[in-house]
Amino acid sequence: MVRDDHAAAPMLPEDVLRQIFRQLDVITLLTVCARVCREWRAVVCNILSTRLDFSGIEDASVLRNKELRLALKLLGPNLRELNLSNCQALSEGGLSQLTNLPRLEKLKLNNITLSHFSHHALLSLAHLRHLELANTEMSRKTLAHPNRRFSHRLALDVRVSVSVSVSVSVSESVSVSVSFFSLTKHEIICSLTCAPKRRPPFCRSFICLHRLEVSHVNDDVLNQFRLLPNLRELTLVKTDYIRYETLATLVSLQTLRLKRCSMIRVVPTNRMPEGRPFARMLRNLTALQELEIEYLRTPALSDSLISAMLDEGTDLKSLVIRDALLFNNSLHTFARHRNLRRLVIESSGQFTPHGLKETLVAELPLLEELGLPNCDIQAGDEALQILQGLRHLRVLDLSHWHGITSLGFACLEQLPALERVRLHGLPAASSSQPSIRALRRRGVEVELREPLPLAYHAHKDLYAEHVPLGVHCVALMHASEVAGGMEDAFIPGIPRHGCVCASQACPYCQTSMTTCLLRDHCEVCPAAPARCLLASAGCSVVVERAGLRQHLFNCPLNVVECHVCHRSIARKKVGPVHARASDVMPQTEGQGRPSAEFFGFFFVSLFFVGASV
Amino acid sequence: MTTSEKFVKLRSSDDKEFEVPVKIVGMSVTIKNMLEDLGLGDSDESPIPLPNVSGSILEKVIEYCTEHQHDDPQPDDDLAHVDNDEPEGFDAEFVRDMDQGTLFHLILAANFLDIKSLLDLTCKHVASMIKNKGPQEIRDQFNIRNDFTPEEEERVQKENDWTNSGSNP
Repeated sequence: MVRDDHAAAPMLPEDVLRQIFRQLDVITLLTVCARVCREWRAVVCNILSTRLDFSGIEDASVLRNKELRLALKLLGPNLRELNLSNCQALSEGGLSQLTNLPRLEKLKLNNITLSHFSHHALLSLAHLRHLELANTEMSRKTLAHPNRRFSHRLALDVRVSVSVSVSVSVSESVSVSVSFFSLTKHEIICSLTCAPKRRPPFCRSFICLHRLEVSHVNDDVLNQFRLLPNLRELTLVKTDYIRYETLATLVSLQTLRLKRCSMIRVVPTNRMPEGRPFARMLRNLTALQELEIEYLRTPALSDSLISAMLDEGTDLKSLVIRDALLFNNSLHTFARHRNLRRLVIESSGQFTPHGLKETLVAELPLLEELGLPNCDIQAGDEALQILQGLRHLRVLDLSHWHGITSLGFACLEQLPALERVRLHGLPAASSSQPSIRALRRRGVEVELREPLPLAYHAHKDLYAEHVPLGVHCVALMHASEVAGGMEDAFIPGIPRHGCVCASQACPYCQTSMTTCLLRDHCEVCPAAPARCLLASAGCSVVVERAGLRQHLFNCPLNVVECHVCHRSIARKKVGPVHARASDVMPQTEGQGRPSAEFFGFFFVSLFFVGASV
Repeated sequence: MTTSEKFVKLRSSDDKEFEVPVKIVGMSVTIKNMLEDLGLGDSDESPIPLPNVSGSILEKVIEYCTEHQHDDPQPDDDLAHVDNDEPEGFDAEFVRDMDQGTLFHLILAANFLDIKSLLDLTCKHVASMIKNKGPQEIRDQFNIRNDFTPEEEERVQKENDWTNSGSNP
């Protein structure tokens, strides 16, 4: 480097310096840039002083208690957001530093071990609004404290946390979202039932609970949810063995999501045609405004079943149906729900333009959001011409439609209230269509891109796999119900009176169970071979399910989030620019230090060499 | 075709004049706004003065813009361009052998002229020069004066030297 260059190099203004620092990872900023000169130090403090994220650092062992203390000291007490996910080297002493951050609003401690972590540190954070403790091992009492509570609205995420006590003292919080993913049915019941022997905080804690997402629960558990008077939003994931009567008792529900629940299908009888129990439940849930049904098994939910389920008009405002097999007929059914403002039918339909005209346009002219992504619409242009009749449409999703030409795109311009159009999966040339440009100029948000393999979906599945299967004989449970005169809820393939299923060993893990459970078990059995969750994106790896998580962590097709710019990028594309991308997947087992063993061996052999000499 | 015929004159700080097609110059948001304010028709007579940019730097900027004139304007939406790979081809060549004075002046020019892609490219290059270096090396490289007092220096030295304390626990 020639000396003259240096003399000629001007000082960079602060905004340019910020731009440069944005390309660097948090460790470089703290350990190098902050030590260069006063100006650089000030800029680093400025960038990091409100939001500090260590979750993406390459070598998490670098961040230990002392380093965290120094970093927090440098940045001052104004920190609003702190992310210490994956920082396994931290211990209780380091986390007690959090008490020095009075303004902290958002704290993420995902995927770390906190066996003796005191809750006092958390409880002293008066402004905390968002706390994530997913996949965290901690003592049962970490968050439980009879007298002190989080005093503000707090969003709490404790998914996959091993044995976290749900008896969180958050009774004042209005917006607690707890996902009971890793809890057994027994624990949920314990927590929700106000046992007379025990003085509550339990019951009181949950009075305010208004959002709940559970998976693999059964009817008993669902029954307990009646104790939650403010439950507004319920999401049931892979929850098969519950009855619609029980669901119908949750009268406060405003939002109900049924994801991959096979209980949607009920064996029909003469007295009770298929779909009727569901319709009856809807009639009871008078406050319900949003309904979402996603059913991934084969055969898909049929047109006639959906029609029977939603036969009667309700006050529903939003209806989402995924992965069904619908025709024009079900559109007629949907049109009976006069208050619908949002209708999304994803990957589920074969509709004709005529059908759309007769139903949506004629009966639901007030629709504000319409999504028909991945549906088979014959004559896309014609359909779009008809959709022009929906004058209030704000959001329109036409992803993966075929055969839309410039004529169809021109129809989009005629929608006066349009704010957003999704056109994913359409040929890239579509973006240069004059109509699309005109829409963009008008301020309409046009989303058009090839879909990325979303790690989020992979993530969701992994959460589900942590759930211990609530093993009990379903059929027996139903037999007892039949005896009690309740015969609606039936699962296809399971005999009605008593379980006659033979016991059988799982071919992968050799656990023996009844055949009716085996199918579900194989879906989650840790020893069963499983394809990579990104198979659709081109990954051909098949591993034991237990190893899937580890594979996903290394899968070149998985998506990671750059912690500097927060863009999602495929791991194989992570270059020096996004070198410190944090993995979306939490990383737990298998990340030990193999080098310790290696060095041990090395020293021993050195010792022998020395002795022999 | 008609727009590519039109030229604008730019005058650098050392009074060099450049005649540049409007389309190329339009990559700079600053100049584009200027042209719109002035009106396109009569701008070809008097050159636009750029008092912050010297002739040699302006030449570089024009070289970059000529190469990238056919690129689509980068959308503001973050998801639209997720692959922020290492610069390749022309871009990599463009910054590789540039001396530091030119690079810094180019950053300032890109900042002033508001050419986002050029600013990105140059900032990334500087960031890559910072990576994997110590504070003293950076000071030497960028000719930055160490303005910490000796006491501060000592304190700063002690804190945040994680790389040493972290590797041998």
